[in-house]
Amino acid sequence: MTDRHSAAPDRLHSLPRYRQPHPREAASRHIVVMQSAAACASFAGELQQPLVLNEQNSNFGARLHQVLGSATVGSHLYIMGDEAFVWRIHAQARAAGMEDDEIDITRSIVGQRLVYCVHCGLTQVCGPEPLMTCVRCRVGLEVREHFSRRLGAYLGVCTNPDQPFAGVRP
Amino acid sequence: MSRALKVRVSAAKMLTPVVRELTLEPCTGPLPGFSAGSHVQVHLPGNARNAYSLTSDPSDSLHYRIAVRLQEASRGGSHYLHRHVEVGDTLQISPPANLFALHSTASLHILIAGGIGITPFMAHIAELERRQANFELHYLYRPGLSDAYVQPLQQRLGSRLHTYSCRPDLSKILRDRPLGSHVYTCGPQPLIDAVQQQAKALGWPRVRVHWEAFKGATPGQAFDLQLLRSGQRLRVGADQSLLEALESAGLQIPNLCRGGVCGQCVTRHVRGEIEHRDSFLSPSEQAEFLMPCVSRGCGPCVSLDL
Repeated sequence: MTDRHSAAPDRLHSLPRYRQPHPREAASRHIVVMQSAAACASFAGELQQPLVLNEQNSNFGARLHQVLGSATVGSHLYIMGDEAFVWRIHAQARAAGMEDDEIDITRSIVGQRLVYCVHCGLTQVCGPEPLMTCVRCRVGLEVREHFSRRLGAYLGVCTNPDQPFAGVRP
Repeated sequence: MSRALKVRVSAAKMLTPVVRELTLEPCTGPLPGFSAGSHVQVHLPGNARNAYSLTSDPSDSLHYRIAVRLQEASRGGSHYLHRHVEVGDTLQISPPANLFALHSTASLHILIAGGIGITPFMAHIAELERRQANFELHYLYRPGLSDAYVQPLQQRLGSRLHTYSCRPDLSKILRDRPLGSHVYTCGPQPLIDAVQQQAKALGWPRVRVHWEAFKGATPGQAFDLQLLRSGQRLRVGADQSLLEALESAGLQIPNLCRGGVCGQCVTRHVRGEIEHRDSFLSPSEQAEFLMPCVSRGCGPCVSLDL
């Protein structure tokens, strides 16, 4: 009875908020997943015997799958990288049964992010620019400051409502 | 607040020397549906109300069942339900409310019951079986005294049931559990405290730990009550809770658990010494608010912003 989830008003906002991550001393196992060595945040050095996975290493996907599948309650996950990377790993960890409170995200690289096209439903990797063209339906999209934690993506809506078909019309 | 329901006691039986099960059927119309883990408040003589978990299968819309443990040092509610209520009698109950629901995305449910704390788990087990969910029950009881339902559970659950006649090693139960595990505990406060401490020590976050205490109001000293907005003065008797005194005077205060945990009845106090007995407010919040379902004045008079 006592779950006071409402004590997290910051989650109601339309943009992701990145709190300052820090080592979770209560955790019994620390798992660090980084996009590259350059993405590694400085606090990672303070962790007690962390298990480190680097996307640049071979077998990264299979190892991540294996680590999440065999992890036990008490594990804490630290994800470091650009927005597209951290939210992709976040979704995988949630699907494996991790709770939000067991995951810390560090957006340590300014790089790519995910955008969801409201026209064709494709989630795609993009840069930071506010205007883009959907790679599948070719509609010109404006990326709104509206983020889905479930999809890990920003909402892309039609830039010009008078031209909802952009370059190609089927 | 929802209106009270009138129900008739259609069956009663002693499950153990101190636990009496009552089956309730509606006097008119259908009973409201409920989710596993729900409780109802049973209205008792003297404007008191006690909360009891529904032990029946949530898919059974014809009956509610509760199991009442006789409490020696109590204000008489359990005594009344054990010694005075008979089959055919009618009772007033509040509609079901749930403060102890199953977590929707858990993939393993670990249930830890102490004594009469088995009651909400009876409904949980029916629901988990229907969902074909992965669960296990750890049941701590005093044989021959507080072991309600243990025989049917043994037949029903087989190896998923673990029984104990003294406090189990909680670190064994909680260590090395897969992601997706959630633990639920109901029973005496020391058991709940121990589960919370052990979970914390093993790095479990709070969102994975669910608990329900079933303590109700306990007696204290009598005191006077001043209601600043209405100008009323009331007397709270030694056996009465502050909430019951307010209700006797015709005030409607939102409430669900009547045990100091849900936070519904929070009220601002202005003057007078308070003995806080709730598990909801932080110490800084208690400086301004109190939970009238369990907390009371410990001086001659308390003033409330009502």
